[in-house]
Amino acid sequence: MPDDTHSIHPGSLNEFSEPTLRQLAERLGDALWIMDSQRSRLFYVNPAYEVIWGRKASNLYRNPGELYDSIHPEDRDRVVAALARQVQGGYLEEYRIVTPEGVIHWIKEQVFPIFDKAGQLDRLIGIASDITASRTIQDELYRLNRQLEARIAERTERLHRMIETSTEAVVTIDRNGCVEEWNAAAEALFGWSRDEAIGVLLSEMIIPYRYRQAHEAGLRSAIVTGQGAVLNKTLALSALKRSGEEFPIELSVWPVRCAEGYIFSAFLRDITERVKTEAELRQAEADVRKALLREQELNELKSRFVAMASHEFRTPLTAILSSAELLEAYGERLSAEKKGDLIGMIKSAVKSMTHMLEEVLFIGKSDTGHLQFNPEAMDLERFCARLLKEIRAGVGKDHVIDYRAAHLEAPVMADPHLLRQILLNLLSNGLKFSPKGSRIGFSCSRYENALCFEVVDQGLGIPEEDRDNLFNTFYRAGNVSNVQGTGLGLAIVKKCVELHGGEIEYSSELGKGTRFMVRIPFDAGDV
Amino acid sequence: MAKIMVVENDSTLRTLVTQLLELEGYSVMTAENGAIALQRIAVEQPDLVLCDLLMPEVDGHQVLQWLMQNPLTASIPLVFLTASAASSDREHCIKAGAKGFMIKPFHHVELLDLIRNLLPDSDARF
Repeated sequence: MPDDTHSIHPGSLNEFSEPTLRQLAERLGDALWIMDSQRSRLFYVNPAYEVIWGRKASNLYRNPGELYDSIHPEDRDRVVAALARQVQGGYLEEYRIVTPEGVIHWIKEQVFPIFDKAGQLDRLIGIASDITASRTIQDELYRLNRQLEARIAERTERLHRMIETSTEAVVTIDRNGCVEEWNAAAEALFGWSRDEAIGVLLSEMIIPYRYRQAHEAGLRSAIVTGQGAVLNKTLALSALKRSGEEFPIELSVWPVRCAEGYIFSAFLRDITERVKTEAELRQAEADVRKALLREQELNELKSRFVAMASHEFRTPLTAILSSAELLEAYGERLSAEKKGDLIGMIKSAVKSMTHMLEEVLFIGKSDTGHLQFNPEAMDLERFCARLLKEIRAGVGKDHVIDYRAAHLEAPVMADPHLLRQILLNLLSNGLKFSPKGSRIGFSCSRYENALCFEVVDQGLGIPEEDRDNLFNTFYRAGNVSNVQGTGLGLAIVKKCVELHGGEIEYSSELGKGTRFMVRIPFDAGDV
Repeated sequence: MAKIMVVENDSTLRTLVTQLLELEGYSVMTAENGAIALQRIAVEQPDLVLCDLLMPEVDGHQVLQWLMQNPLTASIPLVFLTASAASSDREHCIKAGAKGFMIKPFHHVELLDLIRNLLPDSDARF
């Protein structure tokens, strides 16, 4: 045999004698059948058929069609359609069969056409393997894969629904700053539909023009680094609606790492109401503060009035009581002249108290808006002369008053009562705070359409720290506590000047003196 | 005849208190402010000082302090006559050594009683 073996060359079938082939066919695990070209006659089927198909071979001999009758209904049409290829060659099908017990087997069947010497199709040989085991594993893999895909799809859908139904606007932009995601809340917030928004530059849609450059520059750097001043925190800024209306939003942006770098997602919400509420709260707080401040001012005013009244009223009251008691207890021992002096003191104290009271009433009238302004044509020259005479005989008797007047010939329009208050108070102050015998300057000039008054004293001067409050009601400078006064004089002057539409200014040097300047405009045409 | 110094910057009140005390037989000297008072007290050594509290430059508190610190004047009783009605002022002044604190307006009888109590050996009465 060794020689024979060597004599066998590839392609020689000499070794495949009838018994050899029969044994092979009988022991083969795969089903093997030989039929005529019409599949109407079965020449041979091996025992493996009975094992795989679970059917008797004898039945198949009787009815060769049974081979394909047992195909699973879902596969049958496909296999029947492919049967034509059995005669052409190249038939290879996988299909399921159902055994009489109802068990499903996966079959891989290959059919070869056999030709006779004349080249005519003679018969068909089929080999069918039971591939149920490998098919099951494959199927399981497919199933698992499909399941996984379904789950991923479901998760994706769920995530999408979550974003879509979020009451918060969710927007994602790609690395070019174009919108990739735009949910329903974003549609409602900005007025652009999803279809309109997707693919459009976000900055052109919702960033007000003046912020665009900054936004785009920030985005460019963040795309590369995933870092930026606006990332990973909550910010409040201005955004644009489709209508062009600008409104405040709060947003939090975070970078999302992806293959090409970073994309950015953001939650955005309209905070118009909150901003409004905050503004209202701030306003309310300011109002309360203002009211408290006013209340505080009123309290201070009241305290200052009480302090003034308790101090300033006590001196004339003492003069009245002491004079009266002296007259009562020692009357018979006093000369007529002394008695006259005491009565004079009582009268003068009453006068001083009345004056203080009038000042308080004047301020009260002015505070409640009841002070009247009644300008009339005035002969200012005569008015000043009378005022000076009165002062020189009274409060100014121990001082020298230098009076200068300019252009007072023609009448002017002013309220004589208010003007008297202005000049009387300024002069009384100058006299009160200047040493006895010193000179007080008083000038009164008329310009084209304004009156200017100046009172210059050589008195105590006004301390720096008192200047802010100088014209306040009942306010007295820190260096005059020993000089009598209500703290109303300058407040009254200011009110009277204001009623005339005029201005008051002053300059002062501590220990040297003070200069008050009043300017009152008037319409020369009214005179 | 007891000597009383009246320190008061309101001339009317100065005149009235002087008149009252003179009618009661006291010898009275006056000062219109604390600075003048201190000079005169040092020279004239009065038996009692009636003093206003609020005065220009040297006020009543300073007058009292100066008197208390000086051995020659520490025993001279000082009574404040003041337009300040605050009780804290009274406590403060009494603590500082004032012998009396009268709030304006005052009754002459009360002032005279206080003076007599402070000058028990006074020969001021006729």
